Amino acid sequence: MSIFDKLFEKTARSAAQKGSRRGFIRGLGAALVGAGSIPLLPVARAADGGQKLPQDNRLPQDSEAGDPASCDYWRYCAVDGFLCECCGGTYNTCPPGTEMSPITWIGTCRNPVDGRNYVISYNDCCGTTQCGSCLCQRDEGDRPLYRADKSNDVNWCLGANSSVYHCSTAIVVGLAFEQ
Amino acid sequence: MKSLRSALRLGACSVLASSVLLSSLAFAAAKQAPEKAPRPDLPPLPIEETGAVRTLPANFPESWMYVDEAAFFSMFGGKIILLDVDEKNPTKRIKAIADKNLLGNFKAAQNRNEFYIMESFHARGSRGPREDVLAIYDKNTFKILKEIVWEDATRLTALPERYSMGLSKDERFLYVANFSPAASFSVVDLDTREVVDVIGTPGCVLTYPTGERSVTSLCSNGGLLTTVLDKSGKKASQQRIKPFFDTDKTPIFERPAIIDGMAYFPGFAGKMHTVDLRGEVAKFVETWELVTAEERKTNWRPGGLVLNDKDDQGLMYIIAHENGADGTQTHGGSHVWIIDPKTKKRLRKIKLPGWGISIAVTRGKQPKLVVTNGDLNLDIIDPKDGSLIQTISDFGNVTPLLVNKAY
Repeated sequence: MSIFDKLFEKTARSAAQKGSRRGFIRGLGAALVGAGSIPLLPVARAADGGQKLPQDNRLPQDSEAGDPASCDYWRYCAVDGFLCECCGGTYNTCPPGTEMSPITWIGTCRNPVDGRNYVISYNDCCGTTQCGSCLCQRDEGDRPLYRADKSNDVNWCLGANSSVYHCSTAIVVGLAFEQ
Repeated sequence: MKSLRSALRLGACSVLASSVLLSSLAFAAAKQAPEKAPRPDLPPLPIEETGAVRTLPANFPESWMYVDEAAFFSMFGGKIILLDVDEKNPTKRIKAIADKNLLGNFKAAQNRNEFYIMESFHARGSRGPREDVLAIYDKNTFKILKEIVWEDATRLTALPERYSMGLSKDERFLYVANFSPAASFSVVDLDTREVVDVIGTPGCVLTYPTGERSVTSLCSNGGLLTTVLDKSGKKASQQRIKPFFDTDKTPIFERPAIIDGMAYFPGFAGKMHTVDLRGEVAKFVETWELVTAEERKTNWRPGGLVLNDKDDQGLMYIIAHENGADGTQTHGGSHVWIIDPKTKKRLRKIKLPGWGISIAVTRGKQPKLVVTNGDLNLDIIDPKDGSLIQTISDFGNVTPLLVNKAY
């Protein structure tokens, strides 16, 4: 039962998506404390910490499976919001007329096809009122506000010109450390 | 409104017209009693004054609650609804409504006749320069006493929190959380109605009132940061309290029940963390178990959005669910546990009539539970026997995610 089950009927989750995902940026929290301020870009930090995908060896799209318009799609493991796939955009692009927030929260999701854990950046698309379609709340690995880098309760449109939230993307930004 | 009337008159809006027609039929059906003959012998009705606006009593009944309607589907429509949850007549439940734009934050004072809404506006709806504004309201008139515009538009915008704002013990100072994502809080002197300081809290968020004039925030390393203020509300010193949980492996909810100055932070997996906020600086005290060994076998654990609250007797109420796992922590639960934090004993388990997402408890010696249910309506429950008193819907609610006591 999800907060918004009334509004979004969610199907059973894939057990494959519940693999070990924690710890890929262990220490980031500690790094935040003591800083003069926190103008950190959590995604940028995560990408730095993870193994980057070689530019000349991007994974082909047939290495993924599933429906990006479904809440069960593997990339959405930590999402909480409207899926841009249903709002005129895609899982990794914003709908026309909106702006992608450069700062955001991240999750680590296991791709069931290749069995790898990936760092997923859930950049919000902003500037137009709420999409209102395909609300999806998974929250795996989600943390409260004190771990801002992993918190989907924040309105991450704070990094865009407009703080009006529209929908969420799920962008692969790196391979996660394996434990 | 005039154009709407015209549209109805012209029949241009078929949906609305259909609704009106249905309403009219229902009304006609209800009026089966024979009409009485007109009584022209009676004196005419007295002429009434226009422009009258109601006010509220000085002290609100214990059953009145402020419902934080986050308006997740249209954040321009956020509002605070003052609601009598004991009222059986649906037309009499709403007492007043205040706007709360773009996931605005809310705090009610207990002793000042005020409440506070921290909200944001873009100049032209969803675009244009953003302005963050603290609106200080008179609770009896629901009129704004003063608006304070933030110098930087940095106030925290997030799902509703009880401690996105806090009040000093004497209610002279209001603490307002900012997050840009640089974390800080603003101190507002409620006597002069001016911002007196903006204090950075690197890596630490939210505003838990501590002692007389201190503020504690929860940090990304699993520790705390207490900011001590001087008499004028400016920063005097800051002190970090070492980590007492692992934010990756043993996370806690950022939503404590604060009872007599003791903050009880539930952990995701069911361990309670007690922090003493009575002194000038916060102190971590201990952890203790909310869940029995038997319950742990089927992964019973606390969960929900605003998953806990307290009553005036010092008891704590927390939503719980079975088969908990990573990801279920904010999804709510089927039961409410009533806990005496002094004895660390669970007094009762209440099976909810449906599902519970958020919970609040009314004031007084005979408290009632106000549970935001899976249909995003409010179940009013007697905690003595778990009986459902009534379900409140159709009060302008879409996503009533947080309910607060009103004074």
